[in-house]
Amino acid sequence: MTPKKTDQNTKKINLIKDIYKQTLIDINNVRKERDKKIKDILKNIDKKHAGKILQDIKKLK
Amino acid sequence: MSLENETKQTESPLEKAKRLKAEKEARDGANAEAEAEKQATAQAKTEKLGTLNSHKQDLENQLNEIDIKIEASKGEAHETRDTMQEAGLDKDSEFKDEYDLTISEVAGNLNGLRNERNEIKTKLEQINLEIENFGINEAVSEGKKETQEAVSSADQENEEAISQVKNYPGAEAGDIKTAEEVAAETSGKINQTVENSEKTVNELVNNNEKIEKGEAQELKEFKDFKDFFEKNTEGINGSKGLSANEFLKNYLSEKYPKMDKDSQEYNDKWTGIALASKFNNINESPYIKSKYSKGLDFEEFKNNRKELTEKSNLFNVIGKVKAQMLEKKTETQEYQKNIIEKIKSDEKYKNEFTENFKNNGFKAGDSELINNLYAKGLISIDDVAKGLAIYEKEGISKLRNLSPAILENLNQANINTGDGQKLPFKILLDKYAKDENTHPSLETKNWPEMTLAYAAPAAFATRIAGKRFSNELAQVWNENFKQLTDKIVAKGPECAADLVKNLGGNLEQSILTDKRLKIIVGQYAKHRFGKIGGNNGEMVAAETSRRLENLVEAGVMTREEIDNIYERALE
Repeated sequence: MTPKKTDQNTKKINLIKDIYKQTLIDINNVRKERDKKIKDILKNIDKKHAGKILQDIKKLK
Repeated sequence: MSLENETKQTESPLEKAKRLKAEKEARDGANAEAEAEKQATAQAKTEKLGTLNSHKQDLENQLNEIDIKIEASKGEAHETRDTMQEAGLDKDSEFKDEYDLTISEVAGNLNGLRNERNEIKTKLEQINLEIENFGINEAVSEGKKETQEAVSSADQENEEAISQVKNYPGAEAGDIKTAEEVAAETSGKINQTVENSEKTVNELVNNNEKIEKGEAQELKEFKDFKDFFEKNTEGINGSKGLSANEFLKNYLSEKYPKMDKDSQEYNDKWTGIALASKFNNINESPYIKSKYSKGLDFEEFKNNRKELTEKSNLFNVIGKVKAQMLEKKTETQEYQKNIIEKIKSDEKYKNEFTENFKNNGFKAGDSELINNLYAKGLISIDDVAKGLAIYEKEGISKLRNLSPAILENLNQANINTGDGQKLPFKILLDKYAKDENTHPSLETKNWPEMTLAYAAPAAFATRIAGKRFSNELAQVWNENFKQLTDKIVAKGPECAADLVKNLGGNLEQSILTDKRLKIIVGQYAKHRFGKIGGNNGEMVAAETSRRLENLVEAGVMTREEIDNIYERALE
């Protein structure tokens, strides 16, 4: 392999590694975003649930 | 306050020590495991590359073996054909079918070997590509594996997230639906991310240009210099008698007026433009155009300038020699055509020509003319024999270019010796074959190739003599010649150049006598073409190329064989 080709391959390998590294970062960001949305859903359920209990308590009074 | 912190506050120092110890052991264990996995992966890679290289070596060996087999098969095929043609089997209706069958058989054998060679070559090219791209393929495969693991984890988490919402106290159908939508959206985004990255990686793997950093500074500067040159040479004044160096000096003075002419920067600009100019020229060369369809890359030129320039020069030299030889051949054909026409129409000229030939022998390249004249009945076999006899020993070497029709009838020819006697032509051959000075000696230990050089024409003569006149001596000569050739072939490349040099004009006869010497010719050419970068390199290459072209002309090597030799030198 010529020095030029070796150099080109090294550059390619590094770029490929960088691309996959970035892909993993992007996937993790999407996962975090999902976790946040799920947490919000759960918070919302809690909120609705708490509101319902409060209403029930008011009715009892 | 979190549960974890509460636990930490209530643990005793001993408990804390135990917990920390366990934590450290777990971390060390995980690190060791990761390290072991890393080493196992590296080991697997090394083994995989080793297997590929070993496979490559096997294929290269197979290719060498098949090349030798092909050479031997070609030699055998030619000899088979010659043997049958010499006996006239191709023209005898009783043997014609057998002749055709045998020719088909040898051609079939040769084609079988060539097909086998092509298959091996294809496999070798594939394996070379795999080796060349090994690092890239490994990086892609590793990246894909890690990405796939992340995608699988994300899918699993999506399922868990939906379940978590489903099982959450107070969750309603709308909440579950929203969670499912979030999971689907996540999955879609991740798939899109993976698809995009795969697309980018594929483009990168298949396209070298993506990673180039754009046009090199030297080329940009050269373009500016060219514009300056064109602008300053417009009109009737042309270059105003200035040299290229003077133009370059003026250009740099105008563009960089404050730059110190003794500075490194100035020197770099100067050499950069000169280099770009050379790059521009070589990119226009026929060699680069034939090898690099998209043009040569500047970086590659800078890294391999010497090799590329040498190969480009060699390509030009070979092309020039081929063109010269073609021109010479056309001239010769024209010359022969004129002489034949004149001999046909002018009886006086015909007699003068014949007398001249009988007394002075062949002019260079006249063998073909004599063949043509004999075929057309314009010269007798006695006259041809007389023309040969004047050479005595050297007459043997003239035989090799004569047609089978002449060789067939030479034993009927008689030579007028000048004292009224007529001698059968075979005497000349016997005399030569018995000459002790030309007998190949197996005792010459260091330079058997020197002996071979002397032995070649003698072996050729006795080969003819043996076939035409049943001379027992031919058997001895041929056997000795074979043994000498065995020695030469066994010595291999180290003696190739000396051998071909010493064989000189006898090279063609040597190859005719033993086709294995073609291998030596290839080694010789490689050695000589390798000198292209040295003093008189182009002259040496031209001389070598001429010698190779002569072998095609003499019909002892094919156009394809010689072109293969050129191709290998330019690889």
